[in-house]
Amino acid sequence: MLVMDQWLRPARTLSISLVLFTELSVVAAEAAKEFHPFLQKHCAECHDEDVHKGGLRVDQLSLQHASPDLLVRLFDRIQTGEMPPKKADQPEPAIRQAFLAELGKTVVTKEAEVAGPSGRTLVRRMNRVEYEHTLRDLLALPLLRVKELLPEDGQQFGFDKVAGALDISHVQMTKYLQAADEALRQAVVNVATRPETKTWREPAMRQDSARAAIAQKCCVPLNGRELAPGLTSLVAGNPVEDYGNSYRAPSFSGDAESCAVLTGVIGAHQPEGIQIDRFHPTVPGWYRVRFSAWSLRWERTHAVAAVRGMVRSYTSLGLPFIKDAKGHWQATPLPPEKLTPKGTINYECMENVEFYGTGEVTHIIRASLKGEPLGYFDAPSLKPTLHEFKVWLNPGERVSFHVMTLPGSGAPGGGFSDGILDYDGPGVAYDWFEVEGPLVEQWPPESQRRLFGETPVGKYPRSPLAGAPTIIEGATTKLPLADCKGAGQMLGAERLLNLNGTTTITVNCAVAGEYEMAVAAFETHAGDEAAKMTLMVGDHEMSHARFSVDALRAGPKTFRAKFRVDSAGPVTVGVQYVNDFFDEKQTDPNLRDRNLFLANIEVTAPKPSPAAAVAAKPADPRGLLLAFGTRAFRRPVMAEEIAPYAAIAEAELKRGASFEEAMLAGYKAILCAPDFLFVGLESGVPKPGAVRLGDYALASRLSFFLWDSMPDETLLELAAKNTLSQPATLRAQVARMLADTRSERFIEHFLDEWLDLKKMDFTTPDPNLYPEFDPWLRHSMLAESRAYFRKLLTQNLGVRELVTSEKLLINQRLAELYGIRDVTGATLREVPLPAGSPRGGFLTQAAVLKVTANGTATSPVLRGLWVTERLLGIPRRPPPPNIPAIEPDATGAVTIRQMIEKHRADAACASCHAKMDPPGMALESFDVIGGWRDRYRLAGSPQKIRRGNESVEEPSVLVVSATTVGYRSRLKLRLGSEVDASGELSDGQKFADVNGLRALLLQDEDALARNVARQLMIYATGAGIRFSDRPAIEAIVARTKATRHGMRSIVQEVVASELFQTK
Amino acid sequence: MAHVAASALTRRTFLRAAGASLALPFLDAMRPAFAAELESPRRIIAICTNLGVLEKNFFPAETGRDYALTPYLETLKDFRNQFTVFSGTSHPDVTGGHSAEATFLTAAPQPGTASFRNSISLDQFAAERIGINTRVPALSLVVSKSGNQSLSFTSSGVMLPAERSPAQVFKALFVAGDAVSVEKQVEQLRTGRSILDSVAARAAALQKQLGSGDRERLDQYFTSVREVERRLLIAEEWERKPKPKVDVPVPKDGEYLLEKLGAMYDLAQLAFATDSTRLISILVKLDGFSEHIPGVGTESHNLSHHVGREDKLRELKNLELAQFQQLAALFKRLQSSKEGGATLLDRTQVLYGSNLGNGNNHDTKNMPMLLAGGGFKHGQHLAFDKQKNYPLPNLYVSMLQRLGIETEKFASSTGTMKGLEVF
Repeated sequence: MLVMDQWLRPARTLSISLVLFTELSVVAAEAAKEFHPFLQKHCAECHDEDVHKGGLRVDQLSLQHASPDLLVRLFDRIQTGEMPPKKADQPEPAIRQAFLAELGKTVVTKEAEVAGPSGRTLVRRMNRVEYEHTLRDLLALPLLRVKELLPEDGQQFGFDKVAGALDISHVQMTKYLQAADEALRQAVVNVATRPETKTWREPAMRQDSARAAIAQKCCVPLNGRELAPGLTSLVAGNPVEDYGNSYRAPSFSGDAESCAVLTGVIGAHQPEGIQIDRFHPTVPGWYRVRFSAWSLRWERTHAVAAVRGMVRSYTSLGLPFIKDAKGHWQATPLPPEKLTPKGTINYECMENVEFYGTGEVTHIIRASLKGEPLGYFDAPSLKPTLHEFKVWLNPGERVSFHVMTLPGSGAPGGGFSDGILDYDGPGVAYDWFEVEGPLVEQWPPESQRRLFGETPVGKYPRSPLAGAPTIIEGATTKLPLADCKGAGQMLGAERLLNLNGTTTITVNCAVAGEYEMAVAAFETHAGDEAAKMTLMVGDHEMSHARFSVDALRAGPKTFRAKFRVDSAGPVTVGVQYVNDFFDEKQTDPNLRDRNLFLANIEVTAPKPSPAAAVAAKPADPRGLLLAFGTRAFRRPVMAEEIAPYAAIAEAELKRGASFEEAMLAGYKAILCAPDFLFVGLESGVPKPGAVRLGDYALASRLSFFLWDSMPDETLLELAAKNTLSQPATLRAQVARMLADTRSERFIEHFLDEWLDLKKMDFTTPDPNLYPEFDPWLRHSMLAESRAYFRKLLTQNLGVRELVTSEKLLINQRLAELYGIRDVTGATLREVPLPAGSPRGGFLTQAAVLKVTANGTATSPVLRGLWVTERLLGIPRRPPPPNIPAIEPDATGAVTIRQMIEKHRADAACASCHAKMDPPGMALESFDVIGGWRDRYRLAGSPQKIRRGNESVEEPSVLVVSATTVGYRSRLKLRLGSEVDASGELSDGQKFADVNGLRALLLQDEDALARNVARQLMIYATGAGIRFSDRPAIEAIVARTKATRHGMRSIVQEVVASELFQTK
Repeated sequence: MAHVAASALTRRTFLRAAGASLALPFLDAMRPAFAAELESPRRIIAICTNLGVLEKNFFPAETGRDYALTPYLETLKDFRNQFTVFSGTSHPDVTGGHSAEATFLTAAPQPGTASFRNSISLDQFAAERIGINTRVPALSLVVSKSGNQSLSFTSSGVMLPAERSPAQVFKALFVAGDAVSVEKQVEQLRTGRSILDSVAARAAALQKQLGSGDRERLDQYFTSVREVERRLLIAEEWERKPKPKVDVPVPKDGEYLLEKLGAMYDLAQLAFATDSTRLISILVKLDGFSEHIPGVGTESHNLSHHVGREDKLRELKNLELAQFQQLAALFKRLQSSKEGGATLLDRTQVLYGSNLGNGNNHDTKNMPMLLAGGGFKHGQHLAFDKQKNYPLPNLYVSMLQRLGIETEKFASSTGTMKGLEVF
């Protein structure tokens, strides 16, 4: 009974009871004979032929024939005491236990039958996230992107790691071929010599984008804190008094110490912001970028300390420019009297000093590459501050900089239509940019070594082409014109090209090196130019190989060009005729048709050199493939296993492919093999029956769990020694893997799926209702939740921290959203939770509140479902058919609460929604971007309404807009009805607000721990949790009790569990 | 105005193509292609706009032939007798809001649940039977801000990613490579096949040793590998066949909804007229679009959750009207392409609708649906019970049968579409 007892523990405390037992209608007729006495006595009254409540009939229920799923539902109802209902006669406890034990045993037997010899988990292909990470690690290409090439993966039990959802189609397979090809090509460099590392540095103001930003009136050149001289009008002769006219852009071509940017977005034409655009990377690689920046407040002609205050635009004053000696308009400081704003202010708007006060501001800069953030950096007031980061740049790529805290940091908008010299407001100055790179640790790079080791690519002899002429070292060989293919025809001893085209011939080059081709040719002249030809090797022109054949039959001329042969073997050379001409009106028939004649072609091979002799050492395709296969298959590989892949490479070589091409075909086959793509084959073919995983399979299960990728050498070494599965080793490895940066992938991927964070961009908050939503907030939200989970792991904090915490992990932007003062800067830091704050735990983090809302409105149903499903682990069931969904209405006529009440009225709805909706009601206090609200926001500005005899303004809220520029950056939004966040759980416990709900959720920490253990186990093993697996989950809950179910302890116990270690 | 070089080309292209195939090494896979193709081909294009269609602007109040045109149908008034509107239909047991995008053409029950598995889509079902006749068995296209979600699913329920770029599809269909690049392409296809051959052999060896559950997984892999090999072989043959010539420039991919949608519709007409394919699916994923649509300023998904607000409803109507105007343009283009004695519209079934009956509350019942052309007696509003919907898969059975495919069933169908007759 010991084992049975474990099932008898409550499986789910809040188990949802709505079940339509419809599948039961079809049950074997003989079942009636097995009518169980317990069911007969305690269930038949409501669930027989006449009544069959909920679609269930027990009079025909056979324990032997019913589906395990149905029996589990029976089990849970009876075990939790939900059935028989309270008002009915209750079975004796012992009888109830005995029946449950029988039921449990039946289910376990059935589940084992369903699983069959393959056991609980199945071998599965990698999902596309794992595929990408694995290729990155395998090929040492940390920034490889192939995920988007592959079709999206399916999901089961909430995760894209479950075998049943990871199907393979012909499309998937085609994409694997393509992705493998792309990845392998990126691993091989096309640069012959080690690139030199250089340091480049320039003033920010010299960048083209900075100069363009001046033309957009978003940027000012500074010397010290003053406007630098040299600002002119772009249009010659255009009076710069018209500076405010947007058609007449200012221009700056001189030098300045800094470039001060005054808006987050620099006009619709320059959404990429300020870029390092005068540095052009030519070699792909890692680069170190440094820059210096500081914050300021711009006051028309000069910078002062960055304090918040009035953002002002003045009517154009006209006078600051005078003509210089060259006739250019030059800026001069405004006379002091013009700086008195009295009477000349156009617009003004106070910055958010209510919240921030008037202390010094640190603005936040985001560096990005092709829209992907590289980092967020602080720019303190008037203090030039140096920042540094590393980035992988491909040729032509540029790093962009945006200020996230200036008005207009959201959607691309316009710059100031008024001049910067008529403007007071916040700004950020960039002093200079520096790029150092490419940072070369080794050459050839690691990625190429992983494929070719020390073998220099492209230097190996290829099989000669049978029948082709061979060109011997040091010798000159005359090629048979008659054997040329393609364009033209033989005319006597010469080859005639009378139409445009290429004639080619393939030769076997005996050695690698520099060759010379000599072509003796002449033309028949027509038109006003000579015949033109180009000498070709393969698809390419030889260097300096375009010739004008200004020679006639009487005296053919010889034209020479050189070409390189990287490896001995067949090479195709050719002559291309490009300017055929025929003039039918020409009276002289000899001047009518221009043709090219080839009289002789010779190729001269290089002289033998000692270097070539060294390079000609035969390569070892099998050895290279074996080494690669061993890593790719994550286990030792036998030489004979490599044979089919070697055969592919050899066939390619025979066909005349280069050594590199041939090997890549072999590697590609390895990357498409089931041994690479399928996880679970590492310890050989899994033996039928539930057995422990072999050490290699365990290594992969571990690494795909915590790194989303293949095991590293340490894990494989332990597997080779058969010691990985020892408990102490396993514990140490889990600790090591969590400390490794690759575990970020686990945090990101697990939270994406578990907490639905992957839905972050599914909806965009309505810019009319939530104008304050900006990219920095979006980024900060995700960063908070991920860093928070990292903290739970590192500090081994208990599951109660899922719903509550004493400290928040926030930056300035989140602090603003959460209403917490005095947090400055982009970096997340721990901040004590202010007394009475509604925040704490994942429950009230902005990311969670955002993904559970659409961009306009919140739904307590969806948020309630999130809490019950994701935090409490109660799976949802689809609503009964033909039930229309609630129609959202924000016209104010019906409140969400009123609509939700409908769920209670209908019994079919109530059985689920009574449990699902209430937690969502508590979260009504948070809007769609996770901000606190007492009242719902409505679109538009507040109107005057009559209250008694008075005309008063409707309630409103002042919001900082991320999308509008400068003085228009604060908007007043209408507020509607008050939020009521109170509710009652299905067991009758009441709460007044989210903190009330929090307290109720914390009553059962075991339930929270059980859910985390289940979610992690599904994620880690790629299979759902069955009834039979409940004891293992309960064991994890029990074993982590000492740490109050610390997050790291749960991860450790998941790995230690037999569920993790068996097939 | 783009037009195809020879308007009666389809027939001849087909004959030429057939001749060329006969001369090639005879492929088992290609054999069905030469059976009974006596008349010009029949085709299907299925279009799904993913955020619903406002019902009051779409469904006519009256049923039968004499219904009054609603604002959206008004845009199609020139074709009134060439389409049928369906109301009160939906896919049985399909719930789950946006996840029903995946089941628009498959009708697989319960998308969005943990245990959901999709099934084959209408276009792929047809492609398995008639796809062999054309360079591309079926084209899956998407109009979207990002991503390549599609309406097309294989028989194992796997999504076939859609093409987003009209320019790339155009190049694949109509821009011929020179002899050298064709040879190179063929060479690569061959290398691809030998790679697949080696891994298939490995999978076959593994399969023998595995337990049943694992074996099924490997079997799926093995089947896919063989399928790709077969396709590469066919691709090799097609690679050598001349591509049809069309004298229109390569289309621009565009950035905004309407130019993207227009380019896709133009491409569809070209692909049909040249008989490059006979099956096209287009998912119009509106999410994220708002720019350059007359009378629309708000992001589309946001608009679909109009929450009853007048301003949003107004914008939403403009968004949907613009899409119907594009549909009218497609009808017109198909109508003006002649093929034998008929028009392309006569030979093409155009299915248009949405997976959502109500975008505001994610309801999947009462899907807005419309079928044009393709050789049916049109001109009516077939209305069914709004409470207890009529199974939409029945329409798909009718469509497949009209295509010449002998099938009695598709997904959860219970028969053919009641009240829809063929010419």
